[in-house]
Amino acid sequence: MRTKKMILAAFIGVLTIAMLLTGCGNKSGESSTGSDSSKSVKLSFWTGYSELDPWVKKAAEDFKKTNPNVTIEVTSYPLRDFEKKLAASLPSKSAADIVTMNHSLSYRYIDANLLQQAPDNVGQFAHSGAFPDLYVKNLGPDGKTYGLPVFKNANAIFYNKDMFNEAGLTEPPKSIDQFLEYAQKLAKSDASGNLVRSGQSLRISGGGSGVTEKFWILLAQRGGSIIKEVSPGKYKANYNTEEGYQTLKMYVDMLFKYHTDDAKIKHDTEAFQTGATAFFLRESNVVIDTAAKAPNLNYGTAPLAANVEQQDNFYVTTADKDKQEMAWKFLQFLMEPESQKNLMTMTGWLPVRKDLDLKDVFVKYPQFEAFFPAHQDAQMYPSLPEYDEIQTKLADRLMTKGYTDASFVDNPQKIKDFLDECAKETNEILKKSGDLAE
Amino acid sequence: MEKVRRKPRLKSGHWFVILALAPIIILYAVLRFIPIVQTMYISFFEWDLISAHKPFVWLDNFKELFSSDTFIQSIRNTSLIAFGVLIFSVPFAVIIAAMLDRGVRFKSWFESLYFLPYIMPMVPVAVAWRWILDSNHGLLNYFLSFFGVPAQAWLIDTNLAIFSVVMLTVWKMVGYNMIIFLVGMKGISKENYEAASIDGATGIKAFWHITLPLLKPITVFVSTVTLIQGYNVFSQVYILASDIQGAPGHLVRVLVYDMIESGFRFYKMGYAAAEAVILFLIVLVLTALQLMLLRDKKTSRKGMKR
Repeated sequence: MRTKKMILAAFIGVLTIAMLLTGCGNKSGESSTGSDSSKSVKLSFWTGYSELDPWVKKAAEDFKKTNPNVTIEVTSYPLRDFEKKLAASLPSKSAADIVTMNHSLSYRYIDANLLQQAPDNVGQFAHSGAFPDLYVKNLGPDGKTYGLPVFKNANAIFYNKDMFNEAGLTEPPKSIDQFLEYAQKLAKSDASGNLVRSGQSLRISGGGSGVTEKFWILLAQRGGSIIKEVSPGKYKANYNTEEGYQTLKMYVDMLFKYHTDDAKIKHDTEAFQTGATAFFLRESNVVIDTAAKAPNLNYGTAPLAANVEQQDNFYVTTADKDKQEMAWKFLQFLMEPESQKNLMTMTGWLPVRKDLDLKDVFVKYPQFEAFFPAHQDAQMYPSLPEYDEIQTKLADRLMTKGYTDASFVDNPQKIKDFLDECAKETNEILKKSGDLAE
Repeated sequence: MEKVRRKPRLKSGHWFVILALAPIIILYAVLRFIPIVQTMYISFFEWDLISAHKPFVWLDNFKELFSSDTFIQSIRNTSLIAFGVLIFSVPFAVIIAAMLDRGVRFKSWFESLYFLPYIMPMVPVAVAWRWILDSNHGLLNYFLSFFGVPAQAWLIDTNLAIFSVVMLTVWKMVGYNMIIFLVGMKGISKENYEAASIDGATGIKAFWHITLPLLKPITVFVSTVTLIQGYNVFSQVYILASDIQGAPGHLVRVLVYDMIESGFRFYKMGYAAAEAVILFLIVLVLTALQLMLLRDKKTSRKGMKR
């Protein structure tokens, strides 16, 4: 009896340990190795932009026609969750074979050898003049190529033509100085004085660094920026300036002095598509989204005097040579003119390639034209790993105080003190990373 | 005669116990104990999630924590939520349990109804509450409008956003606390009430002088568990108030959220580990407090059924 119990206990123990170990197995069985090009290759693809999903899937199907041995599995996640997923999966070598990532984030992973350098032919293609220089320099450090650009992320003014006509406005605002005046003319309140339609829908809430990005775009119209490169590789906060003051003052005036926007009403794309705002600033993907969700909306777009561009690149993470070869081949396939046009018409994001003929796309979607102005000052996200922290923490302060404290109205000193306080934090983050200009 | 010291020998029964417990002890060590020790270790380093360079910084992470406005705000918000949930959920649970204990019709039905939110997963519940709390089309504002209350920005106003998280958590927790109190009330001997009624203490008086004092161990247990769960608040905040456009962003920044952001967004794993150590210490103090209160000699079990 006792022996039986012992055997049973030992069996349970062995079974439990076996089950634990099974869970720790690697997934090498999923990938095929070897140099035979006809051998089946299964690639996984992750992105933080769900809009890219149908485009990449279509491209994967098309790619399979000429590469029948390659299967690509595409998965998308909400952007902020995706960034955290990358942080956890890349160091543990469990990320997808191809991932999209903001270039400023990529430098950490490149330093840690977690992203693969592109083969020579891809590097030559990247530097062939097909992409603007502003983007090429962000494909990797020291002129090396580690990625290929996903899309151009730029903003324009989206305005409701019917509302503008109703307010007697014949054209969209030409400069930021007109924004407040336009917002006052376009905002609408009900009989009890509650705002039912904002003049300009401001980004005053939301997670991540987007709140700062929108502040930055308005700041850029006045020539300002969030940080400034004082000497090569050394930066300091650059929004506790007259430009920064004027920008925050505009927010405060719109929210509390003239009440052309209110935290309680709908914001952003949803507000625009449902008629809860007259104009706002947004990226090009709104064009395709609006075509699907509000096809009868009578709206136009207008270019901004200055823009802030964000660059996300495709990166290859896998160390498996066969997979690497196919992954780069597929990424080059995505860069082909036809595929780049599909990117625009299927997702609304703008292709980075500058050698495309987009006339037929503009005929179908005239709103895209405002994203390709002849002259525009463009600021690119700096290649600093800590920049996301800078933007996120500034967004925190803007949301919790900058955009909620009504006592800022007609109180320039209070606004300036607030900006100084924020800038102090920005400089501390830069200092901790060794990037502060003393 | 000199005593012969025998070598302690394990009997086969001992081996059976050891073998039977080994899997769960190994699991506990791997999933709990080692990560806790590892977290404490990491908190003394500038531990970048990706970089191989991880210098030892001794207490610098802790110093940075206490000079960080974000961390202070997280601690403040987390404490507000934890104590807010405690203040509302425990008394509500006692009142509901007392009413059900008096013997109402459809008692089991009511018990299930109150307990249901507790077993529902937090994510879909929080998503549903986002709609309830929506300032434009939310059910709560619609309901309040009947009483002439103007529409409130529940998820946008700083204070209201915290109150909203408290409201949701209380709604979810109250059923569990109620069941525990109900079990406690069942354990109180009827003789106490009979004796009290002879002295003229019935109804609220009996509840105040008999039920509540005898429920003290239960109340301490429920309060501590509620407080600890309150300090671990995350999912509801994440769904209601972060990373989603239209939500109030980081107005409701809480400790666990800040930890995840520091570790997985800003790659500062050492700093995040220091935050986890602080949370661990808070929970440790609360647990010690509970044990201390439970050992209180004044706590009587005389009135409980044997």
